[in-house]
Amino acid sequence: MVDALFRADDTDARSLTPWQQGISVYRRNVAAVAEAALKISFPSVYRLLDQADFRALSLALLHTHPPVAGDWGEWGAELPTLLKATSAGRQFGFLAPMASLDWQSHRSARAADNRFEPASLSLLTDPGLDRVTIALADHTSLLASEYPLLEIRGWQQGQGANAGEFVVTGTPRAILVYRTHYRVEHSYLSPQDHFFLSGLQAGRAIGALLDELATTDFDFALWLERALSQNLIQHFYRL
Amino acid sequence: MAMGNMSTQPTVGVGLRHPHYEAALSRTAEIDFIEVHTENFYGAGGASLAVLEQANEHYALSLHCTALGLGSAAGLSTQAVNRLAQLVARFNPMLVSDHLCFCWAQRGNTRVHAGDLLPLPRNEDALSVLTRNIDRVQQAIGRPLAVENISSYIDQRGHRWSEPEFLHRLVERTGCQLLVDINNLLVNAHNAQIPAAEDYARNWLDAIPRSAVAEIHLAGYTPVAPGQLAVDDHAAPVSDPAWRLYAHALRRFGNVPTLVEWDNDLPEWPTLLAEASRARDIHRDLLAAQA
Repeated sequence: MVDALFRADDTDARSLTPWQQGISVYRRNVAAVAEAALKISFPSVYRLLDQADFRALSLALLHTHPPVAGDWGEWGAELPTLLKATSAGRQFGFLAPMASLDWQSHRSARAADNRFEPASLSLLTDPGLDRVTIALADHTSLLASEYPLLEIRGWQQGQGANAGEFVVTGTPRAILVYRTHYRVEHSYLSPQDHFFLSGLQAGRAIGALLDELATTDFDFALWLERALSQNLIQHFYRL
Repeated sequence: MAMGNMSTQPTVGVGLRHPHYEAALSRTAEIDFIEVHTENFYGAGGASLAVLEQANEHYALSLHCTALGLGSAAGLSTQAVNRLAQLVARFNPMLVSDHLCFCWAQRGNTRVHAGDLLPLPRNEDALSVLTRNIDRVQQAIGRPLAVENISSYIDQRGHRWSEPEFLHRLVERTGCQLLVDINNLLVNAHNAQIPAAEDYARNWLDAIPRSAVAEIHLAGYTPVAPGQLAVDDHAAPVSDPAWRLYAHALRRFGNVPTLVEWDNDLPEWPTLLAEASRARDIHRDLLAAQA
């Protein structure tokens, strides 16, 4: 029965047995719930595609990657990859990266609330920067794209640039996804900030990262102040 | 017919859905509780849980699961059971419930979730699976779970018992409670082309174990032409037959908490509250008639 739910419906509606009619109801229910779930998880992609394309994408994801969690909020991780293979995804290269941004934003919105542990600041002096790193908040993630994803989102929401002003740089720009209180935020990162945050995600010591940034204008004290105001830090920890 | 205890004031709630958050939280409405779908609050943090905290300051809370899949031979999701247990520990709800159905199935090497409430054959095998899974959930949440009768769009083969007989056995084996969904009875009667749907539903209500009933659900469904399958879409007001059956159910079960559900084509918040008021009025009329 479950197999039948996740198969494409190719039966002739005029010749359905009662069993097939029932399966069709379940299939339509699941398809509608799946589409509604993806509208929530991928709001930008939903606005960028027309409804028929979005519905087809949702069905394709349902057939290729049925839910395995029992929570529609956890379903959809494979959509960016699936989107790349669609005609819309091939024609508009920014769709798949936008789907990744949507998904990371959705994950951020559901991530654990963060509360910085100020007592861990003492580790900066003992044992010191070379043996300490930072655990970032669960709601924090990074991605990079050569497309102006934040400008496109802003345009969708009636803010900022006109569609004609978007510039594809050819050089990927890094985006930070994070949450202040309950609002998911995005900001472009400088190459130095991106390097530093990526290093922290990899569990590298603050001291080693600062050594590599020594010839740049990266200022750890300023970064720390901003990171705390953006609620990016869980705690410092000893390596 | 044995009569339920009607001597206390009614306990009436509504299902709280996202579009109504602001209206429901801006001022306390005249309802006794709200019911939410637990899966919408399975995230580790964020705004949804904050809204639930806030809602729980205004109203008593009922947690209604839609995805545990209690009748799944493939077993339950440990993650889902744990999340539910965490919510129960955090919010101490007045009720916790899920459905008499299965959701999980093995497809090749992957265990998938069907995304809907799938009907079970009412036989010994299904009863054993339900008993095992319900026991696991009840152990995890430390209280009885209320199990709801579902709408069905196919006729599962292999029934040994009627649904009321099956529910008697389930209650006996697990100590679970029952959540009676009156609309689902009417949808099933329509889909099974039972000519006297209301009589069928009344007999069903009379046949289930009275003392196990912990909640009643009221909802409406979009009418369809004879011969077409009706879908339990919760997209319409409670129907007149459902209201009559509700009065009958109250006479039998007494003052059990009653919930009005509306999930699709949501009306304005006051319209939903008006449905809840109607349930309260029916209860009060019965109370007055008994006095």
